[in-house]
Amino acid sequence: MPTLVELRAVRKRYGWGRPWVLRDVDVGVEPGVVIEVSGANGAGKSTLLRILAGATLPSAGRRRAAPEVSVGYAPETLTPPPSFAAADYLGHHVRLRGLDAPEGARQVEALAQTLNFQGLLGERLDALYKGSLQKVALTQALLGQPSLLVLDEPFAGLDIEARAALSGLLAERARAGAALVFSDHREAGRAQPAHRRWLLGDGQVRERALAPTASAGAPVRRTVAAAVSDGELQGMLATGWHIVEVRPSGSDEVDIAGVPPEAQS
Amino acid sequence: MSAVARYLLADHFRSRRWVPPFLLLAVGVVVLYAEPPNPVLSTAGGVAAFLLVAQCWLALAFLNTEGTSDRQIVAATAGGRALVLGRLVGLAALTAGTSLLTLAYPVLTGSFERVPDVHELGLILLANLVCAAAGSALAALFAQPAVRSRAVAVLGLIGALVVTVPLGLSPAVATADAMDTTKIARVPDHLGVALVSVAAFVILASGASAVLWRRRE
Repeated sequence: MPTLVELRAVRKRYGWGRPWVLRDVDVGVEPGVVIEVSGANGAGKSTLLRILAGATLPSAGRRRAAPEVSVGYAPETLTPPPSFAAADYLGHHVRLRGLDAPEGARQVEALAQTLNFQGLLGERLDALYKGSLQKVALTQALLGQPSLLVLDEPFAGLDIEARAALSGLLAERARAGAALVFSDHREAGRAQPAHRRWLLGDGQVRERALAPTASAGAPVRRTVAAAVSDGELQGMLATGWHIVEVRPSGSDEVDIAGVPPEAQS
Repeated sequence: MSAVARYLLADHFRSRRWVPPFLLLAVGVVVLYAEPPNPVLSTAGGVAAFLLVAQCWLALAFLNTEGTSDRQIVAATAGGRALVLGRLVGLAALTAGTSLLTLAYPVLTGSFERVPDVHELGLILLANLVCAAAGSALAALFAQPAVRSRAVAVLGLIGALVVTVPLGLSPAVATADAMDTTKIARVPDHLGVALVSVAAFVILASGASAVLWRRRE
């Protein structure tokens, strides 16, 4: 399968003499794949996502993107231009994506409706709370059907309905062929099934295949830390998952198998 | 690229960060033209020299308007190259705007000792563009993300402006001297020298800024 974006021998540090955040990272992203990036605080998840999205350059190594790739990127925390209304800000992003105004307005309206913030489009960005600001950041990333979605903690700050809506939206985009790379530091209530997991530690990425996304009722298996498995289970149930099996896996992990809402017949 | 420039300019004007440096420019221009008789080219040369200082502040304010995460979003969405070009195009638009405004004030208020002819108006606009472009290019070298600390950027800019004077490298001094008709017989020749050196500096500074903006993000 052709690669949308790949990183080869990528290293990153923020200034001379500072420690390396990433060291010799080699990863690739193919169309339609869903990759979850995990790791401890400060492991370099956000840095990896920024480099993958083309938001920042590596200190060494190469990022190679296919010519046709379009990127939707939402950072963990958006510091938006405070004086813009949400609709104006998104209007500029419509132009940045090269969409014509009516089509852009239609997409903004549809995304705002899905994420339930259409009533806030006229509000100034500095008047929005974290969750609403997160919805604006996600909306700009989803505009124009980008072929690669890079989302840093996309579910943080969202209410349970918005998380379920976003999860469904992302699954829909992945089925349509978009690649999704996202981080989610919380084990509890994680809403997005993934094909692969990149585990970051010591500046390096260890890749682990996960069960494929459920289709036609097939369950997705998730492995979570035992300490947070109750929260994970509650989050999955709250977002419409049908839980098939819960069993211990190793000394401190639990396997949860379930069918996500979009795969239930 | 034009969508990026448009977005950055809209963001800047809405942020009102342009107000303090613009007030400095406005007050400076009014004060410099307040003392008649105001011979056409000589006074305009002095004002152009002052424009360089004000433009440094205006350009730095423009380039530092965007927050880091917003800049990174634009880089991911439009591409890193388009972001850099958009910033440079926005800066060029700002430079042209202040050059025209600085020319418009004495013409519209009749501040010169006589009505300047078209040739003189062209020379004044050129002098304004030379100084404003030099100020913008200098500010670009000290803008985020190349220089992250605003205090370091301001100190660096002031230092660069001051140091160029005794070294004979200041475009402000060169422009003011070239426009001084009490000393210079052929203004276009002298202004041409300043124009060529500033054009070379602008090209070098734009290239260096483009690299620094991307590498330091």
